[in-house]
Amino acid sequence: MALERSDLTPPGGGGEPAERPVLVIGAGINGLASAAYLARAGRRVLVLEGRNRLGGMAASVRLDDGPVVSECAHLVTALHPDVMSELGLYRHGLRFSHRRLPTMLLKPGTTLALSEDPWEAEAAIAEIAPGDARAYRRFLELVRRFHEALDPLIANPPARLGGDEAALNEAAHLLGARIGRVSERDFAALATMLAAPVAEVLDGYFASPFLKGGLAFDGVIGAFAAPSWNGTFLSFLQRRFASVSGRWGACGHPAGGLGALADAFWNAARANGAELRLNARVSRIAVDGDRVAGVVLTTGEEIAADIVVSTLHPHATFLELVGARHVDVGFAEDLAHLESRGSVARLTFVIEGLPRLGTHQDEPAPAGRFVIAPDLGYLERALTPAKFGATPAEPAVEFAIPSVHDASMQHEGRHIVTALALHAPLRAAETDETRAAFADAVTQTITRVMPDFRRRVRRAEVLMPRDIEERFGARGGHWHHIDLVPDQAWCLRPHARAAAYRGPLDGLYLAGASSHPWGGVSGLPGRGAAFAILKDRGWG
Amino acid sequence: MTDMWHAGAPQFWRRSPVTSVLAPLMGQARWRVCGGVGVPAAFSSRGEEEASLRTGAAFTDRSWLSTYLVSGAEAARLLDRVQTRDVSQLQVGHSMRTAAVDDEGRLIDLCTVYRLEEDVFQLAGEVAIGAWLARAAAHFAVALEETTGSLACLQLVGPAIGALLDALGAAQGDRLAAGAMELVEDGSLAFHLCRRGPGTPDAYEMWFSAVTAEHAMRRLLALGETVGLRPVGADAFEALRIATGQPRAFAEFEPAILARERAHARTPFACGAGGLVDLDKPFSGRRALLAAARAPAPRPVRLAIEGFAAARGQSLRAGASLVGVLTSAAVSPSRGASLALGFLDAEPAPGAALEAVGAAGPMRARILGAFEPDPGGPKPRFGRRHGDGG
Ligand SMILES: Cc1cc2nc3c(=O)[nH]c(=O)nc-3n(C[C@H](O)[C@H](O)[C@H](O)COP(=O)(O)OP(=O)(O)OC[C@H]3O[C@@H](n4cnc5c(N)ncnc54)[C@H](O)[C@@H]3O)c2cc1C
Repeated sequence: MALERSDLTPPGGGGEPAERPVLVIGAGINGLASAAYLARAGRRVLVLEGRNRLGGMAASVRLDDGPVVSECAHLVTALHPDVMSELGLYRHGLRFSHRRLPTMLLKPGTTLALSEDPWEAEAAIAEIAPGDARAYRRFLELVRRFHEALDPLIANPPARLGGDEAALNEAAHLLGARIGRVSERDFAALATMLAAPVAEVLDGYFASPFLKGGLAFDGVIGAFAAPSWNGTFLSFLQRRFASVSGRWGACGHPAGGLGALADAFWNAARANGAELRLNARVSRIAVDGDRVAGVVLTTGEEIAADIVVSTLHPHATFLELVGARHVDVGFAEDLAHLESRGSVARLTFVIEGLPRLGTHQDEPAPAGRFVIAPDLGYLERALTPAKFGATPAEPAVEFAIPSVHDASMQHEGRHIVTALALHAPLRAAETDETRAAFADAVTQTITRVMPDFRRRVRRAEVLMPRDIEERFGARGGHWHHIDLVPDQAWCLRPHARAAAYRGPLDGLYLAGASSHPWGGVSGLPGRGAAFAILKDRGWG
Repeated sequence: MTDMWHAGAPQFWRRSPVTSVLAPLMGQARWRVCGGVGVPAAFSSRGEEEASLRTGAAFTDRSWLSTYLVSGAEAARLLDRVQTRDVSQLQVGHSMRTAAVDDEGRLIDLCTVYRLEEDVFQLAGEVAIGAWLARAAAHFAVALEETTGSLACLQLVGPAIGALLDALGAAQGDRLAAGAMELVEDGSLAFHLCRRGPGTPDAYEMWFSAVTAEHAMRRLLALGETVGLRPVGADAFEALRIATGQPRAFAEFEPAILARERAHARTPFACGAGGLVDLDKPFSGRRALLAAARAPAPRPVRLAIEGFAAARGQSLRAGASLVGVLTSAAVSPSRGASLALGFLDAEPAPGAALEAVGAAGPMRARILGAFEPDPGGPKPRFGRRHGDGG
């Protein structure tokens, strides 16, 4: 039976009827963003984190007695500029060791540096695929225009289906204001492309298999998908939108790893009085009728609250913490079927000295985000074994050597390589052998483009999707908690009845990667949930 | 003697556990299909059957109902979650009419819930909701068993039924309160007796195992001779339903789990069944119903229509405007007219004559009242009133 609200004690005990804190479950980027926005608006906030450190999938961790490195997410691709400025993240300690890492597409014998400067990129493409150089700039222009048209929808709460006319009108107005400026052709292209396979879109622009493979990588990272699958262009756009440098497409690396970004969010929250409890795992969200009444921790401690913000997967939030019996039958059923098949493995290599690119043997590898996905077929083939629970022998890989620009990560002449390898299957269990086998495949793949890589590796750590699920509590180890596909986007994210950060229980808000607009470290879902609370309570 | 089943029922229809006993009693081979089961449309003339229902003792075969046994520690919780009335308050040995709705508050079925033991319930309705129920039960510690076809159900109606119940050895018989149940064991005959009502007075259900159904049926017919017990067909029973204003699936609403178009499904409020909805307790679909309780909806009406040609699907007209539609209609020989249920999308203009539009021309219609779904037990007393709860 649900706890009555009177059964629960607010933290700090009785006395004055102090405002009950808003409880935020999870100190990942989005939980911290929510806390920061709510605290900034003068609300009492208590963040409850099950692990012993903050940041969730965007945390940093010390490698034994070595340096502190990113634990899972490793590059900042889409931190929204509004979030950065509204929360004053720089003021709260955020420093980038590099803000404009170029993307370098690699294959044996070829390196293509796609700098965020389109002219530079065009010149580089001209060297290996002259016919595609102009097309690249046209393509970037199109993506930029899409971004401009869609940004108001991304940064604002989505409408809720079924009666939320005001929000629908507002969204239509926002979109209309921008779309009005979009040409007929662009509009038609946008309408077609939003649900299209990234491969199809790229085929329409480029001839070079190498360029297409490298660009398509962004359409499949974080998704259990191949570039020929519908919806992957949306994923691509998400990766290409908003960047730390204010120019789309570039990515950055916070000094100290992604945990430093989480720290900046937390500092912004703490500066306004938010509280955080680590090792505080929530086992239940208490419900009183149709309202939340608080939470119960695994220790049995009960904390009363009128507002609870969950940053967990909707399955965990509604079926595990709230309990299926408190939500509608169809909704529970839909959530039970929400698939979360993580597909990205995270690897950390400690290497002796700096490796060299096969194409530039006489200089150490530069700062960059390196991508190995030599053509579309490579990405298609890599998915096949994953469908059957096996790892690809030649995985597509994104890696960086943050110690090149972040001195804190150099340790006794050793460097750090952080890598994400795609199409890692979500299996029932992993063993040291299965992890080692995949690490070997990734090492081999990197060695093909950096011939001295293997001999430099001193240590490799692997987190397969199942490990990520176990460590961070993200169901299936999924990047976005749930797939980012058109039928799970905007007013359908994560579900039509849990969209716009509100679910079917009063006082319970959703703020995690599975909320609008998507996962990654944008901070937008957390911000959106905080705004929803402020609006609903008239605290704005 | 004609084999009425083979003469009139398609092969793919299922037989009820009592078909073999009832088929020989039919005057002609006219069958209806209910829930996939062939049931006699009539045994004698409509006038005679109506008279038995109103003044004598009649029974009809309802074994085609979909039935489920829900048992286990959380059986009450599950049913309370998926039914619009507070099933947890139902006492052992009692039953109630209630509704199941989908997440959007649209009727899946109007059901009867029987509490057989503390943790054992029977659920009966016209719609096969087994798959939906199984999905709803996924998160509850319950065992779910579909018992459709393994039980026989007779509905007994008429003022003389009390005497029959005495003859059957029912300890309480006609002293049972509406919704209450009694297990009757009389020699080789064992059945659950359940009083319906209060909407339909002198209405009872007998539930017995399909295995002993033929024997029980024969015995009932033999004992019934003393009180003039007569079988009545589905048509006369349908007329009784319409006369008493009971909405039903596939007529007044399409079950939401089957409806191909949203417009064909209705909330309980839109179906005049708001009285079966307790918005003060949590249940699946409640939030949608809270909103729906205030939403405008077509008015459910009971009508008398001149002549014997009223039929489902006919339009209702007031002057030159179409104002509604008939969802059920049946002949009532005693009234010399048809009775119908339907919905008014718009109120007829004052003074405009209401007519049902049939193939042979318009027929004058008169509104008798609203739908009056029977609570199947004591009238619900909910804390607050919403919608048309009444
Ligand atoms: C392998 C991998 C690599 C990635 N790399 C990048 C990248 O380079 N760049 C990028 O932008 N994005 C990346 N992402 C995506 C990004 O990391 C996530 O989308 C983002 O961090 C999600 O943040 P969140 O706050 O929504 O959720 P999470 O980070 O999942 O945080 C949820 C928090 O809740 C806590 N928690 C869980 N259950 C409970 C409970 N019961 N009680 C209390 N606390 C609980 C968890 O411990 C966790 O701290 C990557 C994802 C993966 C899987």
